[in-house]
Amino acid sequence: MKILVLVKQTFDTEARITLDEKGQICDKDVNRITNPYDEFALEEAVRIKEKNGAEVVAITLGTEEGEKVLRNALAMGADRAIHITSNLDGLADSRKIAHYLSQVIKGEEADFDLILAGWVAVDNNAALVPGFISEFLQVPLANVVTKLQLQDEMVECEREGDGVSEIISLKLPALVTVQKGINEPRYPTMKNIMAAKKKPIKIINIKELQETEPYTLVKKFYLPVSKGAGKIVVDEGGNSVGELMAFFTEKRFI
Amino acid sequence: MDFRLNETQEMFRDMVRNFARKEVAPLTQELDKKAEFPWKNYKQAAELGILAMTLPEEFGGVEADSISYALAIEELAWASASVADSIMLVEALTYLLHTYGTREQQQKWIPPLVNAEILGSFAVTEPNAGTDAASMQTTAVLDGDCYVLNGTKAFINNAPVADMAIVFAVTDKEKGPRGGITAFIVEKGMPGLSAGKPEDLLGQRSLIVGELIMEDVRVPKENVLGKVGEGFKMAMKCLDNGRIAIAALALGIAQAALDESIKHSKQRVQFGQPIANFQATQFKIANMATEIEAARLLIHKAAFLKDQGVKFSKEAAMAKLFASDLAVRAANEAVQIHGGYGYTKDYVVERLYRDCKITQIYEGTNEIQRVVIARHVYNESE
Amino acid sequence: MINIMIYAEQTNYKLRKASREILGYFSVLAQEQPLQVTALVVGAECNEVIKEIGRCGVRDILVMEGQEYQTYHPNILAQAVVQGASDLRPDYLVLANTAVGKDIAPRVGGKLGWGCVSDVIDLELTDNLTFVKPIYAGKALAQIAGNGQKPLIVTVRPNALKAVDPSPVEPVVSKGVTPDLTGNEHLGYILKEVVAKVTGKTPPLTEADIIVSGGRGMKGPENFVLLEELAEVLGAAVGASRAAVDAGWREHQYQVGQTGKTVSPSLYIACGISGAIQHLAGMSSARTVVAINKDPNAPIFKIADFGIVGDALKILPILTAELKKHLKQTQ
Repeated sequence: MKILVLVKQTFDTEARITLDEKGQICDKDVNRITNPYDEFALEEAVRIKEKNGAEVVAITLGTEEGEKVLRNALAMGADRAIHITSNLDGLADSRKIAHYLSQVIKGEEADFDLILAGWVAVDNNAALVPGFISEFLQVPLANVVTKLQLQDEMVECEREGDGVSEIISLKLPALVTVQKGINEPRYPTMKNIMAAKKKPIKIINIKELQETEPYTLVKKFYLPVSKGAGKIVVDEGGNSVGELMAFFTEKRFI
Repeated sequence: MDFRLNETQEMFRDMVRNFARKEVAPLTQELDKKAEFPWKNYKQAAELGILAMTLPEEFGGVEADSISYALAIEELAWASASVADSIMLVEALTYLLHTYGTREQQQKWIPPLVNAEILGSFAVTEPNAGTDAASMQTTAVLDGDCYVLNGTKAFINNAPVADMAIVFAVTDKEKGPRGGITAFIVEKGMPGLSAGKPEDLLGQRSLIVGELIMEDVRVPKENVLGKVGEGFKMAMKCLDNGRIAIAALALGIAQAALDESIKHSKQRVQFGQPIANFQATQFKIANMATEIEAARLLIHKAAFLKDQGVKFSKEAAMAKLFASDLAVRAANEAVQIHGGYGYTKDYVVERLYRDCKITQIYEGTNEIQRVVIARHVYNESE
Repeated sequence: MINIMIYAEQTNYKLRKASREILGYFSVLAQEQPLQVTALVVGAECNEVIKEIGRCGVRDILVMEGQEYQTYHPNILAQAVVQGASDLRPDYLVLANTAVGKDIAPRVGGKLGWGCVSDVIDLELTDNLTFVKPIYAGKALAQIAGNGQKPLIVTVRPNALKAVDPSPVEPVVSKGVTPDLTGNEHLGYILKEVVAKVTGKTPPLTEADIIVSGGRGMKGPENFVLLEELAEVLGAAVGASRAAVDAGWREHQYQVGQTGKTVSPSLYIACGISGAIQHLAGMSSARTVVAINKDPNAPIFKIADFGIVGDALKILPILTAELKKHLKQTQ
């Protein structure tokens, strides 16, 4: 069995976002982490590998810093990794990203059984790349999955809808995006960090791939206007409730 | 010259940092209040291989270098000095066992120690022999196949709960410390071995510290660790290594004090603006940040020298002296920046203020560090 | 003339609130701007939804009715939307950024060869449409446009668009041709069971107009009943901070924040939530924020419109009681 895991480098969720003089997002000195949702995907892949045996391949697309994310994937238990190097950042057009990832998968990794990915990335909050890939590769996709089980040629998933959960069976090969709650990602052990150093990372320069145009363009970035602090009252024995009720009335919530 | 960490060191640090911040830090305040041993984190650290990190592969380690080890201790101490201290103790014990122990001793004790199945103690200090190791009163007298140990060890980490202890005792009073002291592996359940009740500590309250009392404890000859009479040398070697670790631990506390101060000063509004806008606060932050950077460089330099296999005693002493004094200063300033809040147990800096003090005292007091440093400096000048 | 097609999503034969917002918004915009707005309805039984769309001010409705749309299947629905979009050839296909919208938007984009921008909160009309979307969980915003060559698929965050007052119209319905899926109904995706998760009247977090949320200051799972009681009175949904979820007090699906749900309610009441940057990222687009926290220095107070320094556990029961009293009086 071969499992591909799509991983993305994102800014640390604690990172402060600022704009440079050209109005671009400042990415200098920002700590990069593995997109937290992709860690759930990695963990799930490694668990399948430990239970049933599988080859786990982590794939990322992006700048050189992405190597850190791949080393982390290898330390968590992936067997090898593919780095499509490019200066496209985490906010690049999703369809374009999906195009390149699919191209590489269709090439040497076409014999995959399962692709796992986080359902969304915390930087662009787009949740689009897996959907595009499922179309480009013509494989079934279950999104926002909180439970996953392999059965013969199928993978059974429990996915989160709006107010419902659905039990779905996908025919392999398939793509599954995972949601927090599916597992607790492990910390790589000291031993596995050492072992990761010896595992191969294949580098593919994006220029070697067939090009595509972006379908969306960023016109500009800007920072939200902070609205400034409101009224603060110190409560003593519940006396603040009256003021809050007045506030609700003023704002027409009641 | 290159000040960057290598990729492995960075990965070790990131892993320990994630672990410390997500798993350790959320439990620390509560465990401190209850004065409970951090069992959960201790076992997790064992599973991640942190307890064994400096050992070779056959004992579950990765032979991590001293810089990696210092980074790990710093990150752990950022979240909990008690956890960092417990892990440093394992490192000291396994270092002695691995360097001086017989094959049997290594196989018997290292695996359960690094797997967090048992706790161990390192027993040098006595009620009347702290810094002055020459006045050690615990004795070991050969009687047939056994040494008979008598004496009391004080302020021993884990003593009340330890499954084993490496105890240093006088085997030949005539020879003095050099040649007259020997290390023994004393096991729980040996008749005559008992522990005092746990001390009520000022800081690092999740540690279990107490006296280890030996009354005619018969320790088989096979339990001698290293050679008879080598004990003092072994203990000193351990102290040298330990100084880098203590410095890293103190640095972790100082870094936590700085981070908490930055966070608080940006939130706390007085006179209509965050106190971070005031120079009185900024100067404190600037001093802390500068000294932290200096401490880190001293520590990494000492660790680097150690890894090069050259002398590092002076640098280790400097690192320990500077970092522990810094931790106390930084924690003090952090409480000051927090004002009244910092004086309450709801705030992390209150704990840091208590946790840091011991770093000036153990592993050789800072007064002794100065003596060591001065001796090196004068020797070098000749 | 810009041609807009809006996928009108339904649940239980009713138009979803998030779709209603989009339809109303564009119908009002079309009164002043050169926009042609068409609604696309796909379902097993669409009469009620068609009427509702008319009430949102959208006249032209393309309907695809069939039993195959009774239960949600992403591939089948995506095929239908693709068919509708191919027939109408809009410049923009707009969906609500709901679970369904998110699920099918890129599939439709993949099939049609169109690009997609998701989770937009605002838009601007000049020669073309440009869209505003929060990035880094609201710590920054990006203005995004299509590349000008291909149509664009857009999903709009619920509760985000400016509220409008559309003028009802009489719907004009045309029947769409439903795609032929014979022999390929499942496309490797077999729905086995649907389990309803939300009980009672609680709206889903992402669509709720009011959210009452609890954090570490709630002290334990047993105290969330205080939030539930308040929520019931207000018709609100109950959320939680990451600290509360990580402590196991609430399920992850109720987590608000960067690694949870992003919400934009009219009113967000944060109880015992300090306001870590992670949490603020998920709720900072709430129109009004009320915070109750013991720590006067908690960062949540920085963004609160009304803050109470005090113990949420003590204040909540009083507030709930007051609100109940108020409701009784006004009824």
